[in-house]
Order: sequence, then C-alpha cells, then structure tokens
Amino acid sequence: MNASKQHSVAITEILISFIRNRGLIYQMTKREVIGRYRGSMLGIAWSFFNPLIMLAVYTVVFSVVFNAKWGVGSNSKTEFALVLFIGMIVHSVLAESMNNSPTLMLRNVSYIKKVVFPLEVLPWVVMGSILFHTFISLVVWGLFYVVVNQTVQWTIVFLPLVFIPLILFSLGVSWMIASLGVYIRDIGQMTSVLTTILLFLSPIFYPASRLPEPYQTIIYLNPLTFVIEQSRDVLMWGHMPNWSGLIIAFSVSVITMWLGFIWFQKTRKGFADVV
Amino acid sequence: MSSIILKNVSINYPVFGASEQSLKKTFINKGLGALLSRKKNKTLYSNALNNICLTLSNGDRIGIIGSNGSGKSTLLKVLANIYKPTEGIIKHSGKISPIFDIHLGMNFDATGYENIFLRGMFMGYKKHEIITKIDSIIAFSDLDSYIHLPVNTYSDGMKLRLSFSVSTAFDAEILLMDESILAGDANFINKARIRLESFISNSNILALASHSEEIVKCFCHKTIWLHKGNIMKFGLTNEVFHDYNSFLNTQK
Repeated sequence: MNASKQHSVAITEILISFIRNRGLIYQMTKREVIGRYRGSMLGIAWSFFNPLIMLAVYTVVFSVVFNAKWGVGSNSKTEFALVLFIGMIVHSVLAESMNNSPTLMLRNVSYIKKVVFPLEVLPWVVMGSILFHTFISLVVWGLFYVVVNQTVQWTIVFLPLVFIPLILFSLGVSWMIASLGVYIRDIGQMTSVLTTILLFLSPIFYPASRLPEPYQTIIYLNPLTFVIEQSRDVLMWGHMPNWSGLIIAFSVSVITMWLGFIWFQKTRKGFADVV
Repeated sequence: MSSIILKNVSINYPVFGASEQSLKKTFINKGLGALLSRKKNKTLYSNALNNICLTLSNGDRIGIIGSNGSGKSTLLKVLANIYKPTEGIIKHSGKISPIFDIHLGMNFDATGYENIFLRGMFMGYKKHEIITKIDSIIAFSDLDSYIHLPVNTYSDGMKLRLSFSVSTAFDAEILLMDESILAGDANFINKARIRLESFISNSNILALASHSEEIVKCFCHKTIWLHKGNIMKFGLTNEVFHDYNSFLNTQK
C-alpha cells in the first residue's frame, strides 16, 4: 500500500470498487432499509403501505376531484393516477439521491476521520435503498394495474433497460453532490428546491405532447423526460422501447456517472480537513 | 516484512471558519474584497506535525506520548493512511489495522451478532473470514445469550467488550491504537491485556498513543515524545519517560 497513490479516476475503477465492496454495500443497504422502519409496529410493511396509500390518494384527487384525463377520449377513472404514479416513481429515484447526497459525508464523519474507508461506496448504498423502495412501489403499481385492467403488458420486461440510464445518471449526480456538500453547505438547501422544480418541469402531471411546440424541445433536455415517457411506454401502453434513444440516454448517463466519479475522487482528499 | 517510512512529513490543517463554507460569504468576500482591498484570501493553517522523519520496521513496539494537542492522534492517523501529508513522503508496506473508534460501524439497533459482521466489514474483512472467527469473538466478549439482543440494551462495558473482541480477532501486520480501547473494568483490562499481548505478538509493528506511562511501558520498548508537532525524543521507553517527566516538572 502506498499513501502517495492518488485515488483512481478510471471508469473501470467504478466497477472494480463495486465488486470489491459488494458485501459491505449489501450490509449497509440492508441496515439503511431496515433501520428506517425499526421500532415501528408494522416494520418494513410500511414500505408497501406508503406507495399504496399515495396511489389511492392520487386516484381520488386527480380522477374524482379534478376529473383529470390523460389522453383525449379516455373514460378510465384510474388511468391518470397510474400514469402519474410512474412519473413520480422515476422522479423519486433522482430526487431522493439528490436530497440524500449533500449530507452523505457529513453524516458519516467517522468514516472519514477514523478509518481508511472506501467512501465512494456510500452513493451506492443510497442508491440501493432507493431501488428497494422503487421496486416495492412498482409492485404496488403493478398490482393496481392488474386489478383495473385484468392484464399485464409484456413489454414490462424492458423496464430494467429503461431504468439503467436513470440509475447511472443518479449515481453520477450523487457523487458530485456528495463531494460538493462537504465544501459548500448551501448545497443541501439548493437540492430540495431543485428537485421540487424538477417535479413540475418533468412530464409527470401532464404529457410532454401537451406543451406548445417551442417548449417541447426544451422539456426533452430534462434527463427525466425520456425515462418517464419510456417507462410509460413499456409499463402502460405496451410499446417497445425507443432503442436508439436508449443508447443515447445510456451514453449520456455513463459520461455523467464518470464525471461525477472523477470529481469525487479528485476532491475527497480534502474531506478530512473540512468536516 | 512490514515497514512505515516517513520522510519530512508535515501536516497543516486549514482552519475554516464556519462562515467560509457559506456560498453567500464567499461571494461577498470575493466581490467586495476585489473592490475594497487587495487583501489576499488568508486561510489560517494549524501546524499539527512538523517535518517528521521516522522509520518503523519489523518488531517495533512504539509508544507515542505527549501533552494534549501535541500531535499524537494526528501522527497515528498519518501512519494509518487516513490523513495525507501536506508535505513529505510516506511509504507503507503491510496490512494496517487501525483501532481508534471503538464504536465505528456499529449499529445500536441491531443485535450484537449482526454487529460483529457490520464492524468486521468496516474493518475490511469478508463475510466468510468473519464466520471463521465468530465463535472465538462471542466467547471472548463474555456476552453469552446477550449476543442476540440489540446492542442498545447493553451497558457501556458490554459494548466495549464486543467491539474489542471483534477488533482484535483478526491478525494484523501493523497495529495502530489509541488508549481509548483500554478503558473498562479491572477484570476486563486484565483479560484484554492478555489478548492484546498475543494479538500484538502476532503483528509486526505496533504504535500506541497514550497518556499512561504504565500502559506504554507495558507494551512498548521504544517511545516517541511529541511536543507541538515536533519529535522531542525518540528512543528507549525508559529514557524517553525520564526526560519527559523532568520536562513536565520544569513546566510546573
């Protein structure tokens, strides 16, 4: 071991670090997920009830109170809630990792000051916990869909492919923000505003096609737009994913992830001085 | 062969005021600063270690003594590779096992048994390596059936016993410790001493920071005396303590 060695910024290091620390990541993720519900009577069942209750609320508010319709000529009472919920799930993957990251290092000061710890795994742990909850939400969504429509779209099998760019992108953002949050404490305030803005600037409450022409191109600059629409295509409408679009999304995400990782590795040397 | 070589190592901590980490302050300082004065952006540095040259090699049992703020912990953290030297070079060979924070990685809501795995993994061991040691860890901790209860039901002494037995269960080539690990009741300290002695005899290098003359004399044959980030004396434990004690007397 050599102390003067720099932290590697190679793109392969992301994978190597993940494989080397997979046991640690698994244990910490488990601790994070279970820890959230420990002490509550229903325990981990809350992760199931939370999305269930939210979906019920969306259905009542948007379909019954607002009488909102997603497509023109649709008479379904539940369609809007189902479409909306997909958007919320996708948004929460990015939003939760953005909101969790600014204090990620500050919450774990002893990992910085007391041991030689692979700090770069912490965003993986955050992502693991988010993905667990995302999975449960998707199950709830699926159950609701089956009850309403008595069928499942077979294109659901492509969902992991649609989510991979989202996950990689969020990881990159997470590395970036986790490091920035150590040096600039204001980041925590910014991300919560930013994620709320993102919620309304993504086609979650409305279809992108409803926007006037000049704004349509702008909304596609939002990285969430593509993922949300693709998720709806494979989950809801039974369309094949847009392969060329996925390849572009994948490339953009890998680059974002790598840049975030490089930034993290380059700046982590100073953490011990600041925290 | 294990060794740690430090060449002209200095550590400077930048001292940030809490306000400097706010974006607003930074902008105002930068903006107004450029307009009103040419004052350079001054960051205060605290000089924790000064030009340290040190070679530790196989068989060394080193004590580190000095008054509060003399740089003992900083030196340990440099040796542990946690802090990077601001200046100078450090070279390691051998697996380092730092034991500074006795509760690191422990989750008080989880059971003692689960915590053995959590802490073991924080120390960089794989699950199957921990499984091979688990019986001896539980036996040494004396926790019996308590091992399956959440750690927050334990007394402080029981927590200490648990983390101590995990920390010392694995052979280390280079062992770095501060004395917090040797707090506990008399019964435990005796047991811990025996365990530490066998643990230390399996490791190539030991560095132990302590205020206790007794502990250092018990475990270390050589001692470093630090004062305000400088090595005042590095030599045989008895000689160093002789000088250290007379220095403390002149200070009174």
